[in-house]
Amino acid sequence: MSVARMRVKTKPGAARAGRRWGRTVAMLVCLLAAASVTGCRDAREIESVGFVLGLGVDETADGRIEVWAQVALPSAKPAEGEKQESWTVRSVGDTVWDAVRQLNGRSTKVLFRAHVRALVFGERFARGGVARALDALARDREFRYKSWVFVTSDPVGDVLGAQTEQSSSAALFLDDVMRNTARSLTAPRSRFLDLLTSIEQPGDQPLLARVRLVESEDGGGQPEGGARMAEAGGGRGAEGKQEVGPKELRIEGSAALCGDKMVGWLDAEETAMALMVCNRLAAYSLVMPMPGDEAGTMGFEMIRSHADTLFPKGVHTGDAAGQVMDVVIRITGTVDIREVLSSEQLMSMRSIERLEANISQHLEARVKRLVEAAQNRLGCDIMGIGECVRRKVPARVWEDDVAPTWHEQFGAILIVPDVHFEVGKRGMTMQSPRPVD
Amino acid sequence: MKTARTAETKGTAETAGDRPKDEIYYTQIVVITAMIVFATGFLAAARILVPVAGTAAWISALIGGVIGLGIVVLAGYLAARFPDHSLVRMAERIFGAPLGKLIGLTFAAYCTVVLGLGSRESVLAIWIAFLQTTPPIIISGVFYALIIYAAYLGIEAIARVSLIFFTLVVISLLVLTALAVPVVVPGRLLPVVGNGLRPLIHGGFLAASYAGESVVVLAFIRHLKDKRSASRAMATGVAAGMVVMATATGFGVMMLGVRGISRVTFPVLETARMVGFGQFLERAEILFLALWFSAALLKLAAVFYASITSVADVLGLRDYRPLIIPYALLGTALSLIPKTVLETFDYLSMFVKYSVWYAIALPVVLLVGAVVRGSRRGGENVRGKDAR
Repeated sequence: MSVARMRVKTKPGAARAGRRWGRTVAMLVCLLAAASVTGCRDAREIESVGFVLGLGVDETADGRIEVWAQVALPSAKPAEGEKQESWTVRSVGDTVWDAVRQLNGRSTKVLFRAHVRALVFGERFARGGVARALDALARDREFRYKSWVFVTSDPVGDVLGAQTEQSSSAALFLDDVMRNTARSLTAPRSRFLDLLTSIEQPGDQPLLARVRLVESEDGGGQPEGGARMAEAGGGRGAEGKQEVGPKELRIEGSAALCGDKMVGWLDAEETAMALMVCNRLAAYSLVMPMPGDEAGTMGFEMIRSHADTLFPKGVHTGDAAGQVMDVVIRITGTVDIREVLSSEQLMSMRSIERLEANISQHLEARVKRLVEAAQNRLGCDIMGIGECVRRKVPARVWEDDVAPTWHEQFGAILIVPDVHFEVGKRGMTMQSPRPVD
Repeated sequence: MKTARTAETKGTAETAGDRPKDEIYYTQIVVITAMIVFATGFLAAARILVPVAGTAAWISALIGGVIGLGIVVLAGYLAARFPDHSLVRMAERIFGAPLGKLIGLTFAAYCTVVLGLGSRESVLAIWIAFLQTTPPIIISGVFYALIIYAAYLGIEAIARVSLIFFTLVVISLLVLTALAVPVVVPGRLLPVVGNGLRPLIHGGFLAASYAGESVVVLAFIRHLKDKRSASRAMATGVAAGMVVMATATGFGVMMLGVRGISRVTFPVLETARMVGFGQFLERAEILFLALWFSAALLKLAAVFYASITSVADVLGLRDYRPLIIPYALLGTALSLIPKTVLETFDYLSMFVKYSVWYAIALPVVLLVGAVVRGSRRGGENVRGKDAR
């Protein structure tokens, strides 16, 4: 009787204990499983990671690919003046990926490309076709599509090796300029994503910002620049000579690409006009002679502009595609007066109207110059006219009939700029302060 | 006759895997339906719709939503006719046990394919973009461990957690949309009709396969507290899910263009990789993915629950829980069948192409059968009742 009672008491107790054990084992298994998925097993400490800030790609004279990586060297103490803040390493390979993988072998740190701020293509590589670099970078899970893309006619190593007092590395300097000075920049804010999407569209060809090394205007702004550049670029200057004297980076103008191949440079003014036609110009400033007073000058800042691409005779496709079409680029906008150095103080409505006509003519002439460059010198649609056509015709018509021959058609289009600007604000004073005669 | 009697004697109380205490509310059905519609599909829907419909892929997604609304309205009628039945029990009631079980098996198979493809897609998104060195079976294992736990707790727990995460997921998508505005080019959505009207409609039917996944809800709609609102709840869920899908597709096209979106593996992930806020919120895609991972997990948990309760119904089991582990192993194995990304997308394209017809046929066949045979709630035969 008592044994039976004991059994009755023991069975639920054993079951409870069994369940407890079961839960403990399940918990341990879950904890072990969690440890295996956190990545702690092969974790990388931050000290062993090389944060790549800038990437450079160029082509050697014998057709091989050169790749530079500018790697941040963070230090524990911010005031360590003597310590180098970035390190630029170069490698050569048969393809971009081949060169990149060799870079990994030359670095003591694991190169991490998720923080690449600037991608700089050398002119020779860009003229040969940037698609050779796009594939490897687009597949890379670390590389970001928002990195800025530049083209340079200077040695890429020297550009990445240039040191500025404003930023700790050239890549960060380029990033800062593109981010913070968009309104005063006469270069396209070209990101990797824009390059990827536009090389595939014959009607919207890429413009990439140009970066150059120029003589420093203040003479002593970058005392260490030359030495650092020589180290990074392997001691090669533009013509293979040792560069001496301080140089600074300047972002101005652009490289025009036809497909993935660079076809020429646009100067700052042409670039600004191209951006204005594509509605991508944030602001632009210009100085021009005062109408009616040849000795005087005026300074303006364009604060707003809007371009419409119009097809007065419609868009012809199919059999009529050979006839192409006429295009009117109507640009309207506002300029603010920033400086008047003239006896003419623009105090009458008539003088303002004359000024507006003059500004419009001035800008129209520059747009005409751009159209001429695009149609004849470059031979590619950097003004996005094809993109406007694409939006107006059925997708199949564009893909099958128009896009394959767009480059040829673009050269034969009659493009007429029609520019109308008005004067907006004149600042905090109506007239220039001047002494009594 | 004998079959009908067998079905009638089983009644609602013996619905296999039934947990009478489980109750779901209107909002929870809306949320679960929306999650089933978009949670895994929106990662790669654009790369399936854009090659067909071009710039109008987002309109295709909306057309798919309209077709999906038609499907859930039919499903809602069915649910209203049999408010206390799971889908398998409905089928048995209408067509008798053998045919009903067969329909139940096809439904379980459908749910299993949704489960396998959905989990594979989510695992790939994490594996390719983030955990490259982790074996996919580990990621899949973690996925299924959580799904098992959710299924063990029952549909009420899944519904409650879904409500919490849905809010977070919607907030994450709104934030993503707002941050993406500066980098999108709205002109890329032109021409409005994309590749033409026929491709647009074709794309609509492809998109409808995502909306059609909402028929999964029929497996547990009987737990809805207010039975009359089943149709409205499911329709609202489908509308919400497809609006998310259309927005994700539209933003993908505006950001990457038609060619770009057809090229990338997961368009939404690329959108998340592009956005940032100033210089202090960068590389935030992992935050988005963590939330989307939770949404996918809850969707798959609901689908898993629908699968095992349907199988339990077919087998006549009183409790679905003994099926959880074997079915999870089956799901893990299925999710590992496509060896490569290409293979996964091939399977996905196939599924998207044909599954919509199953999603349309299922409620139509059951509803027509119910109308013809006069079957109605509680196993009563309308004609018989009228005759009495």
